[in-house]
Amino acid sequence: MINCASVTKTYAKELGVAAHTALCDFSFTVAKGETVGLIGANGAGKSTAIKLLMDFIRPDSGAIKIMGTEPGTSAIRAAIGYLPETANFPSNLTVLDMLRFSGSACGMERGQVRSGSEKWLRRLALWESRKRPLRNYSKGMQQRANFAIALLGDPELLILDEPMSGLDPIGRADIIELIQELQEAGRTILFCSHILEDVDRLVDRVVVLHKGQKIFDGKPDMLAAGQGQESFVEGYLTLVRQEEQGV
Amino acid sequence: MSKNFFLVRRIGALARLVLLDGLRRHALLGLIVLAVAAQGGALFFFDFIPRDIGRASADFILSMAWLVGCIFLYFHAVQVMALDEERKVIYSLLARPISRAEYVLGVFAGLALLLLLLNLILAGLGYTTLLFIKSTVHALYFEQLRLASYLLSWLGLFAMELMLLAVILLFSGLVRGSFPVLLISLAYYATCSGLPVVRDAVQQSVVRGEVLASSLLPVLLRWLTAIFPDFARLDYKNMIASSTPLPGGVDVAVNFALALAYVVISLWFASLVYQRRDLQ
Amino acid sequence: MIGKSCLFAGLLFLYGILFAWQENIQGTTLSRLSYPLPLAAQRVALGYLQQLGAEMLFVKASVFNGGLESGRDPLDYADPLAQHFSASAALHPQFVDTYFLCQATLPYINDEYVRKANEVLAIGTKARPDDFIPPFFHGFNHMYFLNEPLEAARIFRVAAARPNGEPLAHLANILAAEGGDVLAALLGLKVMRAAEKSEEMQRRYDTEIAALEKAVRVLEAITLYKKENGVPPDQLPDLVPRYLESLPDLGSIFTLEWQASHLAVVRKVARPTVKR
Repeated sequence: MINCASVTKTYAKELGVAAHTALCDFSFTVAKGETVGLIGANGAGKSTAIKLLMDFIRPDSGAIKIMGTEPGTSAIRAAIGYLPETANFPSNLTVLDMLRFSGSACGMERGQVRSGSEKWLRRLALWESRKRPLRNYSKGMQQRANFAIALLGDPELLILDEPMSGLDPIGRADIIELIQELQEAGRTILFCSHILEDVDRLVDRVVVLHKGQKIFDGKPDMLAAGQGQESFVEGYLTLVRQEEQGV
Repeated sequence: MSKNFFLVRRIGALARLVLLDGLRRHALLGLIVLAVAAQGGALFFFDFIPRDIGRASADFILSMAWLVGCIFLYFHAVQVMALDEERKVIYSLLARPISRAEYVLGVFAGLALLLLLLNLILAGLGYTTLLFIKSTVHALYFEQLRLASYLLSWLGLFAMELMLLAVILLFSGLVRGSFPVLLISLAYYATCSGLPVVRDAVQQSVVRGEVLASSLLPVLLRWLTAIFPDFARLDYKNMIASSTPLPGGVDVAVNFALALAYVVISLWFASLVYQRRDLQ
Repeated sequence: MIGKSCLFAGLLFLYGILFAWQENIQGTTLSRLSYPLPLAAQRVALGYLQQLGAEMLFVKASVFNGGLESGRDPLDYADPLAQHFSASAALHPQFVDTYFLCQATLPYINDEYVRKANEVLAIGTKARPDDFIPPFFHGFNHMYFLNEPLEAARIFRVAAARPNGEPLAHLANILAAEGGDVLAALLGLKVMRAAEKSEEMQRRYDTEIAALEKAVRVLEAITLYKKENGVPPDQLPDLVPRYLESLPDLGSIFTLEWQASHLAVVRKVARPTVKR
């Protein structure tokens, strides 16, 4: 489903900001139906990797294929549901406006858009507030609205950038449940998160990034075992500390 | 259904978002109220004009519309792409199967629709105002009100606004942030207004024999006008209330065809530039 | 709370005092007319608003002119006023009010401002090809204020060729004769006579043509005098009897005048004196 081969990305120097390499020789794959967690500390390169997959930025070298196609081919994004890290919308629009836009852009019929919108807005408890401007939504509501937009049209691949960010415990539990439903429905999911417990609960495999380089790719229990720890979280922390110390 | 149908549908979907966002923006609604009030100002302005009332009133109405259009372009349009990027709205939009070129065209179409709507309101109101003024003064001071010239003037005004809009989108792709886009766009407009003045001055030097017509400066200035167009060529408001014959059809067609080509080329460049950009 | 309210009231009072003081010292700006910005700067800054800018300059000049107190020396404000008209005409040459106000004010100041008014009117003459008013004003200034009948005749001919300006053709011919171009005046009158349908006007033209034909004979005599003597005569009676049997009587309308080496056919009606 996703194939990244030796991808390197360096952000060019800007006024007051030095050039820096965000990803270096990064390779990973995500198979169909698999759920992969992309984890790492701030600045590890997770967002860069996701932006590369979404073609928001371009790699300096290496190759990326999504469903056998390059990310620059805009048509493939009809089959991708993307959840950005921070949910931002044009301030005067409603979630219905965004869903209609999303459906039209994906080539969906009006009836399909209507039924799909209702399904996801009800599922995500936004149906009652569907006509309110998005700027009046709480952070959690905006995140759920983003989910509704990403899920409209039942995309095969979901790329979720910090899906639990800004959610209260109830909202978080709800989203975890939703992701589990999507897994059961056979969707391929790539997500990155800081909340390692969620990652541990949801993923089939984790890819650990540190300072732009991949330092682990495998099942969470293998990470724990490899570091001689009992839990995935402890295993991850040990691994990162070792990298920091240059071991 | 054809590929072009889906292309238009995608652009239309984004244009609709830009249109709705603009229509619901309180500042733009305030701008429409301001524009209507400014148009109404023609009723006071013509009191200061003893003779050429028709011409002065028409000038006033079109000038107010231009001012309002400029406020729209320099305070709203310069922000749209920059704010999409600054607020990361762009990620939500481009996460859908929309190419960067389609994004540029969609934003352009949405803003152009907003401008069209604004101009339609003001044109209708302006015509009513002119009819009212004409009915209150002696025919000697307002000889005629030619609908064809009036519509041509608005078309010219709209064409100028579209040219500016296309260039603003090009600058929005070239630099980050709405303020730099505003500064560059203002500098561009000042250059467009200033270039004919410089050309006139150089032309006078040519007539006086101080500069050769074939020398570098006049030729350079002429070609610079291709980049910084002389908007006065689309200014037809002087004919609304006058009996001077309308310009030839070929002249008008060339002026509008050039404006259209300018818009298309600017958008083409804007799409190319945006296509190559990293959206960090 | 009370302290803050008192402070605010005090500030308001202070502001009122300062405002009243400023008003008393500086008064309104109605009595002053500032210079407009240089034309090139206005063209660059105004762009599409050029015409409105010109109309605003006119309104400003008009309001200023309307508020002038009597007895004020016009040279106090003549220069900025003239610049307002020049800028207004250059920015919007089709706008006719500029020419009316310009004509109503500048020429009455002095001859320098007559010429400045004429520069403004020349812009209007060019920009309004179907309007006889700007060239009429322009020609009038040459005739009335500058006493330049030949130039007035030339400009009146321009006005006469425009819609509703035809009557000025007669004046142009009369002024041409006064300015010394007797042959052109005679030709012009003959053309008008041929096109005229009213018998009364035909009789008037016949009288004028007859007078100018007599003047032409005097011109021929002057030419012969110059040929034989190398210089023109000092006075017209010098032509009699060798070159002319007698000086002709041009009738009730015209009289002959020998002015600075040219023959003028001048109307007997006294020209009104310039009032400033």
